[in-house]
Amino acid sequence: MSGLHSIARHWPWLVVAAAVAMQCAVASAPTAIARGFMGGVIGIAAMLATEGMPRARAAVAAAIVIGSVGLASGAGSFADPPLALWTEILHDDAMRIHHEIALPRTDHRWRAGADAGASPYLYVCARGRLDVPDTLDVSLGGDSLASLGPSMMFGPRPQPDSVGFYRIPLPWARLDGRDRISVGVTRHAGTSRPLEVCGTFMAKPTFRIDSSELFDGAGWTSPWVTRQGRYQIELRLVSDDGHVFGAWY
Amino acid sequence: MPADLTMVTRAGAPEKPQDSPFRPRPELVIASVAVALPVPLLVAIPVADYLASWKALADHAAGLFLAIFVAGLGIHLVIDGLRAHSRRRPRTRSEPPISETRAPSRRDRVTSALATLAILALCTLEWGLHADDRNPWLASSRPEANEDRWLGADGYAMLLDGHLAQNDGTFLLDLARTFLGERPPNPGGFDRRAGHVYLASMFIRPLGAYWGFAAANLVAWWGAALSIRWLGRRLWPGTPTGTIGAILVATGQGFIFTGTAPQAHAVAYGAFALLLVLAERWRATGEGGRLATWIRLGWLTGAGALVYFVHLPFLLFALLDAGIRRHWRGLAAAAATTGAILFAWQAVGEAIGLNFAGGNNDLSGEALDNWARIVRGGLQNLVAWGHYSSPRGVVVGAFWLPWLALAAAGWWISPRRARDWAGAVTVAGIAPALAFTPRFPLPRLGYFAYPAVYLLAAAAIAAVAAAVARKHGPGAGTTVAAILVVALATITNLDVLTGSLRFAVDFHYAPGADW
Repeated sequence: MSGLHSIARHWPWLVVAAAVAMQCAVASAPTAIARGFMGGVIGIAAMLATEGMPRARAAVAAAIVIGSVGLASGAGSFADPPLALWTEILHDDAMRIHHEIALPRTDHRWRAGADAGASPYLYVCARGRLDVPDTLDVSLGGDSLASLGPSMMFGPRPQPDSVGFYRIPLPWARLDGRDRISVGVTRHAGTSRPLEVCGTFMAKPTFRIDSSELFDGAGWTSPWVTRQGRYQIELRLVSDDGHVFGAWY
Repeated sequence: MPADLTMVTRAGAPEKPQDSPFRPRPELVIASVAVALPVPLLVAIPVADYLASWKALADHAAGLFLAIFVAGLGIHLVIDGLRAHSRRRPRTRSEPPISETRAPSRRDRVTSALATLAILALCTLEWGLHADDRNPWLASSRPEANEDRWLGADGYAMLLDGHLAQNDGTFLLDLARTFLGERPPNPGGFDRRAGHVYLASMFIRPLGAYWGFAAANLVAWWGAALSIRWLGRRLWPGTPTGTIGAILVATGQGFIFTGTAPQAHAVAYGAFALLLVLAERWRATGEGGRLATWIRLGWLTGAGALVYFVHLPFLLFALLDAGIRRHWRGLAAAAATTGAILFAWQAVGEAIGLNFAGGNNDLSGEALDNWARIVRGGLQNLVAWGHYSSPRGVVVGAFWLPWLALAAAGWWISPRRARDWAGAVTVAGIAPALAFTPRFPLPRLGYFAYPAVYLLAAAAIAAVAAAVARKHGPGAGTTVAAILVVALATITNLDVLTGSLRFAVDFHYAPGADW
């Protein structure tokens, strides 16, 4: 009887121990060791914390059992996140990047910036210090806008080959009457080396999820399809003192 | 406020009639010194930056004030603890042992259960309102927050299960996969905090990674709110301080900031509150604190330390609240148990291929190195620390001025035991954050003081409501309390209501000379 009484009193301990043992039993050695350590420390902590509170202790034991079943059963849980930074190498004059941005005229940040007299800028991320002739040409709607140069470099670049934004002023007149802008990036004529444009994941496009595209000389593909990505070409409203009202892509 | 608020002091003697709110208190002397001392220091130490603007000067003076006040209060509590060798443990006279507590009526139980559900629902609402790209930690890194303008439009982000999430979570994913049994261990920068990832992994299989981490945070948020409610009832008996404090947690800047970020902070905040509850429930810091109780607390602190730096504020709190002379064996046992768990995890983790050196693991050491450099530089560098390391920004970024003002008022009218407890929690929460400032000024470290700040602020709100109720009836008192709480919640929800990222930015980076 005393044995039964002891089991009745300590059953949450036994349940937690069994749950942790079950987690370990179905795992490879390193995982079992890691689970066993954490399950042991946290399981004992949970039992100690609920001493004198039988209902709380039973609830905690049940939660540990449910969590253990979740941990130990099934396979596959989440996909690796798409890369936050990658680059596209333009090694051929025929290669071109194209990105479309819908003008966010209804966005409160856009309206606040426009009301405050902020100016639009295009931000294009590329690797290294670019200057004519080894640089990139940026166009808007097919018309040339600028060749990237050192005066447009923006943000920290700890190494000469670090990636970073180039900031290009965009006259308001170029946005008049448009719903969206179409940005093109190509190698400058006469460039003698491959140049890299940054890419990242695509999360909140203003236009389409596949609004970034690459022409590789033969056909168009979107980095959305290949890696849930986009080229880092962004539109920002910035005041004269550098205050950023918003950034869109 | 209840009629019977006669208290006993920390040293055990009943609080005398002359212990009125207007009696001089040691804490006021410390505050006066902390206000006065920066003046000659700033006059005597000529550094041009100090006088760049009135804002900069005020920031510097306030930073030095806070550092001197926190240090002075800590020293006072330690000395008080050294004196309290053989005296009885402080207790409120209106705090009967648990077994003697009057059984609540059915109506009381229903009301309490409804209040509990409402608090949990409020936490959940705030959690949902600040998910995805609305998470303030993430939002404050976007270019329009005007701090890291060189980052891309999404800020310092990753795309986890299709949700934008704070990007430091990237470093937890390998460890999560290890606990899920999907990949062998791969050394990462956050392996010391594996307890958090282990807990989150239990949610990840059914919910996915984004919502798994977020669910662990939500459970901790619930636990923190209910813990604060319990502590408020215990230390401010007969007042609604606990319930108001729980609402302040549910709408608190720190939980809103970390609530859906795949990071350990929210879980750590919850663990800290739970440890405070258990220390109080077990009366560890009072006369009933037996060695076995301390070892149990040490084990729980060790479990918290596997989540994040919970052990630093909690062991410091225990030292300040228990009194080193009376409880030195217990404190040593608790610290040893905590340390044993930490070192055991390091040994086990290294054996299976995890990493406990470099990167984030070295930041505390770098802060100590910087302190050594500052001290070697003499008084000028020590004073300059008050400007360059933004101690004011750490505190004001964690708790903006209305909360601090209310907390000061709450401290003034609180019972002695509650004041001592809150003082110990405040020092324990803020001192490690100030110590870390030479490396990074991080309000999210200073936020460990939230149990004290929110409960003191709640005590002030409860007192104002009680005063109004006495004059205009209970309905008016409740209305005033509700207005004050809603006003505070409006401030912490400005990001959702107006798009303003000001408080998210302040909590993330600590304001410099801005006020």
